[in-house]
Amino acid sequence: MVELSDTMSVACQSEDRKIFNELVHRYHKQAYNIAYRMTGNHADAEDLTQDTFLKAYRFFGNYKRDMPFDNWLYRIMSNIFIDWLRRRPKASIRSLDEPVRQEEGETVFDLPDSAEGPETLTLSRELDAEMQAALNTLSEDFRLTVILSDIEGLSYEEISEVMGCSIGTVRSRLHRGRKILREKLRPYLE
Amino acid sequence: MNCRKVQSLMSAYVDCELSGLEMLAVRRHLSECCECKSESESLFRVKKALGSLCAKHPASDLVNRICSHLEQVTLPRGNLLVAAMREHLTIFPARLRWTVVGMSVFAVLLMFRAGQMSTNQPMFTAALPNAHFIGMAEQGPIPLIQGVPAEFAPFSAAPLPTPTKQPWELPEYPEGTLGSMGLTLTGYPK
Repeated sequence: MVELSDTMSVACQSEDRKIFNELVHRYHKQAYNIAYRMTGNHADAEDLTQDTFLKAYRFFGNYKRDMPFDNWLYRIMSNIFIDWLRRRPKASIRSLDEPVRQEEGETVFDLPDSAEGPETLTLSRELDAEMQAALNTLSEDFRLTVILSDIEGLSYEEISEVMGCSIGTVRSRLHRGRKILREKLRPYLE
Repeated sequence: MNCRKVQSLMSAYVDCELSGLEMLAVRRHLSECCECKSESESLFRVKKALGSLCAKHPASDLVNRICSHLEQVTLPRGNLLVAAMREHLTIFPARLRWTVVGMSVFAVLLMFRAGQMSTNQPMFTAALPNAHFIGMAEQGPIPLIQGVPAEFAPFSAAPLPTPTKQPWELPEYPEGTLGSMGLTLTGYPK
C-alpha cells in the first residue's frame, strides 16, 4: 500500500511539474509586469517573480483548480511583497535612465519598442518614470489595488479574491490610491 | 444623491462597477454638478494614464531560470499525498462519491439501531426457570450468574420458600432471654 501511494505520488509530482512548467511559460511575463510595478525596478521584479513561482510550485497541491491560476499567483506575490517590505526599511526607487552596473559593464534598462517618434518616446519614458515614482509612494495595499485594476484590468471581485478583502475595501483603496496619484501627477495629466 | 455620496462612488462609477440604479443616479448628479463632473474626469484620466503604461518585459532567460530552480524545491509531504488522493479520487465524480459516503453512513446507523433493538429483549425470557436476578433495568430484570444462592438475590423468579411464621407472629426466643419474656434490652416491654 505504501509503495503504491509512493508510486502515485511520484507520478502526480511529475504530472504537476509538467503542468506547472506550462503555467510558468504562460504567466511569467504578466507576473513580471506586476512585480515591476510593485517594486519599481527590474532586479527586484525578477526576484519577486522567481520567489512567487517557487512558492506557488511548493504549494501547488493546495491550489484549487476552480480559481484562476493568475489570481492565485498574484495573491502569493502580494504576500511575498508585503513580507519583503516588512523586512526592508523602504523600497528603493530607481530611475529608468540610471545605468545599471553589471559584470560586462554598464547598461541601461530595456525600454519598450515603440513605433512612435522620438519626442513621443521621450515623453512616454518620462511619464512612465514619474508614474512609477508616484506608484512607489503608495502603501503596498493601495499600490497593488491600483496595479491590478488599472494596469492589469481585473474586476473588483477578482481583486477582492486576490487580496483577500471585501469589494467595499477594494473600492475604497482604489479610490484613495487614485486620488493620491492624481495629486502627484497633476502637471502631467492636465 | 449628494456630492459626498457621489464622490465616494466615483472610482466605482469610472470602472462601471456600480449597480444599474447607482450608475443612473451618479450620472444624473454629474449632469447637474460641475465639481463632481470634474472629479470624475480627473479620475478617469488617472485610470487611462495607468492603463497606457507600457508593459515591462522580463529578461529572456527568466523563465528558464525559474524552471531550473523548480527542481530544487522540496514539496511538503502533504502536497504529495493530496496530489495522489486527488489523482485517485478524480476517477469518481463528486456526486457518486457523496452518494457512496451517504449510503455508508446510513448502513452504519442501521446496524447500530439493530444492535440496540436486540439488547432491548428481556433477559429473563432466555433465563432458566430457576434463574435469579440481581436487579431491574429499563429493559427488564438483570440476571444473576447461575449458581449463586437465591437468598443473595433481591429479585427472584423462583418461588420463595414458604415462611414458617406469619409476619405478625413474634419470633421464638431461647429460654431465659429477654425476648422470651417479652422484653427489650432497655427493660421495657416490646
